[in-house]
This record gives sequence, C-alpha cells and structure tokens, in this order.
Amino acid sequence: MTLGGYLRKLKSVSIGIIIISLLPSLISGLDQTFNLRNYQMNGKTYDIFPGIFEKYFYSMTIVLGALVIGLFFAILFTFGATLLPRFLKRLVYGILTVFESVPDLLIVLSLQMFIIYIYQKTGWLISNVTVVYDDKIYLVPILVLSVLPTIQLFKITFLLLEEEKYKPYVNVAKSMGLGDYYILIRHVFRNVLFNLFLYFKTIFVFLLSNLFIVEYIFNIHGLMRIMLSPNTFVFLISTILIAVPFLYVFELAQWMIHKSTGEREKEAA
Amino acid sequence: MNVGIWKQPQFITGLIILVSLLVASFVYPYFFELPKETKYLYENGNLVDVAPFPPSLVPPFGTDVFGRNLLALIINGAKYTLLIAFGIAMVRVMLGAVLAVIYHHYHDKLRPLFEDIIESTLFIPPAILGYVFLSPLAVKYSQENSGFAEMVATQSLVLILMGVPPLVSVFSKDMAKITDKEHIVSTLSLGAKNRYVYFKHVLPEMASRFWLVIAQQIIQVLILLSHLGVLYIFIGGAATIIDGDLLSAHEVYVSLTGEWAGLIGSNYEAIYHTPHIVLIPLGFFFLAIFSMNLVINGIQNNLKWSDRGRGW
Repeated sequence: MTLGGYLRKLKSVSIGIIIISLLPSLISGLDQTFNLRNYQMNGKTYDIFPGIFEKYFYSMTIVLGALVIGLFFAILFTFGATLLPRFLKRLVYGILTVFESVPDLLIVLSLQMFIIYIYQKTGWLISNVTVVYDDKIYLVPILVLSVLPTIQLFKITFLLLEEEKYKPYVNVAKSMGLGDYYILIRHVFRNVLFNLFLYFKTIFVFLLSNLFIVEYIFNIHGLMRIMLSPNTFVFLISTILIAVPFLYVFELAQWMIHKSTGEREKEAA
Repeated sequence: MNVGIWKQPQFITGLIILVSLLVASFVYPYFFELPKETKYLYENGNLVDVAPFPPSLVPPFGTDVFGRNLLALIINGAKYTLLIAFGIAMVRVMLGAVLAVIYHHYHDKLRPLFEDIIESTLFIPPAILGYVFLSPLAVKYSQENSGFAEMVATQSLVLILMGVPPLVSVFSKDMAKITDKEHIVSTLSLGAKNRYVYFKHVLPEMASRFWLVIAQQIIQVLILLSHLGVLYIFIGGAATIIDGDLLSAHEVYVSLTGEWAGLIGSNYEAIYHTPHIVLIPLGFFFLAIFSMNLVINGIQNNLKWSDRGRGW
C-alpha cells in the first residue's frame, strides 16, 4: 500500500462528501446553512475551531474504547464457545441471532434505565447517565457502545472459527501430533484474527451509527451531535475528520485482502 | 427462489410472525374501535391517575401520554411501519438492480464519480444523512402546508435514494462475477445480444440474492426509522400539539400515520418517568427485526442447500 494511493483516495472521498453535504442546501438555500465561524446547538452558539478537535478526540476515544472492549470480550466468548459441545454451540448461535436483532436504541435506552433503576434501589450511581453541561463522561458510553459490537464480532469470529477448523492445515497439524489447544491458539486463532480485520468496514459503519445514538441519548456533546446542526460546514468538517484515519485503515484492510486472496486467485487462474 | 424455501422452519416462522402482525393491523379496525383519548382515570368518582397509565392499570401495555391504549396503537401502526419498510427496501433493490446493469455496462464513464460518493457515505451514519436531508424538508412542508401523500412520497423518495448507491456498487460487482463465467462468455461470443444475456442469465441467477438483500434492507430501514423517530422526523409528517396545563405547556410532536417510530418519537420526552411507552414500541421493532433475521437465515440455509444440491 502506498501513501500516494491513500491520499488520492482521500481526495476523491472528500469530493464525495462535499457533494453530499451540498445537496440539502438545494432545499434551504446556501447562505443560511454555510457558516465558517460558528454553529448553534441547543440555543447556544459555539465556535467551530478549535472546539471541534476536542469533540473529535472525545468521540474517537469512545469509539476506540468500545472497539477494544468489544474485541476483547468477543475473543474471550469465542474461546469459551469453542470448548462447548456441539448442541450447545447451536444454542449459542441461536442466542446470538436473537441478540443481534435488538435495535441499538433499545439497548442504549434500557441500559440507561437499568443504571437509573440501580441508583433508585440502592443509591449507588455507577456513573452519570446524562451530560448536563460540556462535562465529559467516559465509562458508561464506552460500555454501552461496546455491547452490540461485542455481539457482532462474537458472531463473526464464531462463524470464521467453525469454517477454519475444517481446513486441511488443521488436519495436518493434528496428524503431526500437536495438541488441540496448541493448534487452536497458535494457528487457528491467528488466522481468524486476520480474517476479522477484513470485516473492519462493516463493523465500523455499524459502530458509527451506534455512536450517534449513544451520543444522542446520553446527551453527549460529541462529534456526531454537532453533525446534526444545520450548518453544512460543521457537517463537512466532521465527516472529513472521521474519514482521515479510518480511510487509512480501510485501505490497509483492502490491501491485505488483495495480498492474501489476489495472489491465490492468480495461481488458480 | 424455489420450492425448498417452504421447507425452512426459520423462514416460515419469521414470515408467519410478520404476516400475522400485518393481518391483525388491517383487520383490527373492523372488530374493535380505535382507542379514544382518556386523560384521566376515575374510580368511584375520584380522580385516580393521569395519563400515561402504566401497564398494571390498563393491560396489557398501558397507554401513551394522551391516554390511548398502547397495544391498539401498535397494532394500528404495524401496517404503516412494515409496509413503508418493505416498500422502501423493495424499490431500493429494484432501482439498484436496474442502475447496476447500466453501471456495470458503461463502467468506465460513471465509475469515478460514483465510487467517491459511495465511499464517502461510509463515514456518515445513515440516521444523520437522513436527518440532514429530511429536516429542511419537514420545515418546508410545514410552511407550505402541502398534502399528506406528497409528503410521504417525498420522504420515501429521499430514504430510497439514500440506500441505492451502495447497492449499485454491490450488485455490479456480483454481475461482473457472473458475466465472467464461461457460459456467459461463450453465449456472448456466439452472438447473443447484451439485453438477452442480462434478462436470461444474469438477473435470474441473482434472483435469490435480490430477495436476501431486500430482507437485509428491510432491517436497515426499520433501524433507520427508529433513529429518525427519536430525532422527531416522522414519515407522513408530525402535528404539533400543545400539551400540559397552563403553567407548564410544552409542544408534543404527534406522528400523523401512527407508525411505530412516530410512537417512539412523540413519547420520547416521557421516557424518564414512564419508560414503558418508549420501550414497548421498540420491543415491537425488535420483534419485526428478529423475524426478518429468521427469514434471512431461512433463505441463506436454502441457498446453501441448493448450492450443494447443484454441486453434486
């Protein structure tokens, strides 16, 4: 992967973002919706720069925190699930399908209600469940945001692992007399983790949508919330700020896919 | 799509749940009256409670802030929610398929602009994209007082167009895979016209895939609708009603169609003292999405099964 390729891609994505952000202006007129200095939210006026960078890092902290926690628990659960007998595995898969269907809004709202309920019953407030002023809360948003990615990642790793177990190299390793756990951890898991990286795009899109709901419900003054402001420029800058690091990861994933499958296809052809 | 699909228990279970929701929603007004607003509850002439009532007072789900029975509202709203989601998903896929043929065929000219727009939508959550397009529209319509049908049509159009570009990209990649197959290449070299190849080979081969994508799109549209509901964007527009007494009057947005997302949005303010009015419609969203997931599992199992059958 080259840096030039990434920059070219970034340029064309930025053009795409500009086209999208200018489309709504056709309805309501450009002069009102484009302001380079400040934006309004909840009846207050904020300066765009440099405040937007602070919100950006805050939102990214929540996303990355949720991603790390989600990945950790997904791997832990998958490892636990592989030790289960066959009929329990089917049960786990069924439960995953149920949990996967829960709308993110329902999860976020009910977890918020649950924390309030605990507080009412025991007087123990786990963490603030809403933000009053420009205060920052980390623990609850990260934990709440990590619930759905955990389920999704768990399902993907679970399926990948089941698929991977029947590949010839596992048989070879077994016939060499290597232990089951050794093969699982040393070889199978490593390949699964690599394949998991290829699903990064799907998970990221999903995570971003969830982040928006978490910020909205917890009244967090983050990047997603200010994208809702009628000022098109804020929308434009926020989207480009999100695109800069993640596009790089996408390109990296794409490059890895290309490297691992492209060569194989060439051999087959 | 073949006969085997009707032997998939998951597919049938999901379909039965969805169809019974729809049928109940259409049949309901003939057997029961639509719920009336009862703001106050009396017992022996004494005022007992003010709406919204909890499920313990008005079984099974309690009432909303206007004192209407929540179960009746949900059943009434099911047809709008499910049909809107199904309609949007259906048109998205159809439009996506048609455009994919054009796109795949005239690849080089359209490619640069198209790929950029598709790639850039990845970085915008769909709810925000929908809000950015629909909120100026809502303001415009409330100022101009346009017709209800026109409003629904415009909103649906925006929601449809939002989802088409990624589908075009996915479908055209699938089509490229199919047209690279040997039998297509030899058909073309024997002198078949492109139109013939698309209608006779490419589209039939993708038929089951289209159904799968429609089912997935329905789920995405349902989730998008629930998000937009919280942002007070309702399909069919909202009426603003002043609620509360003289001392604490506040505006409440009420969905005109009564679809589930509208129920969530119009009661969202009340969540902290009566969570059930928001959580129960969301629960029905969960039910609908879960049955769609069952349908998807059924289709996928069937595909796997028929692939294997063809292989041996």
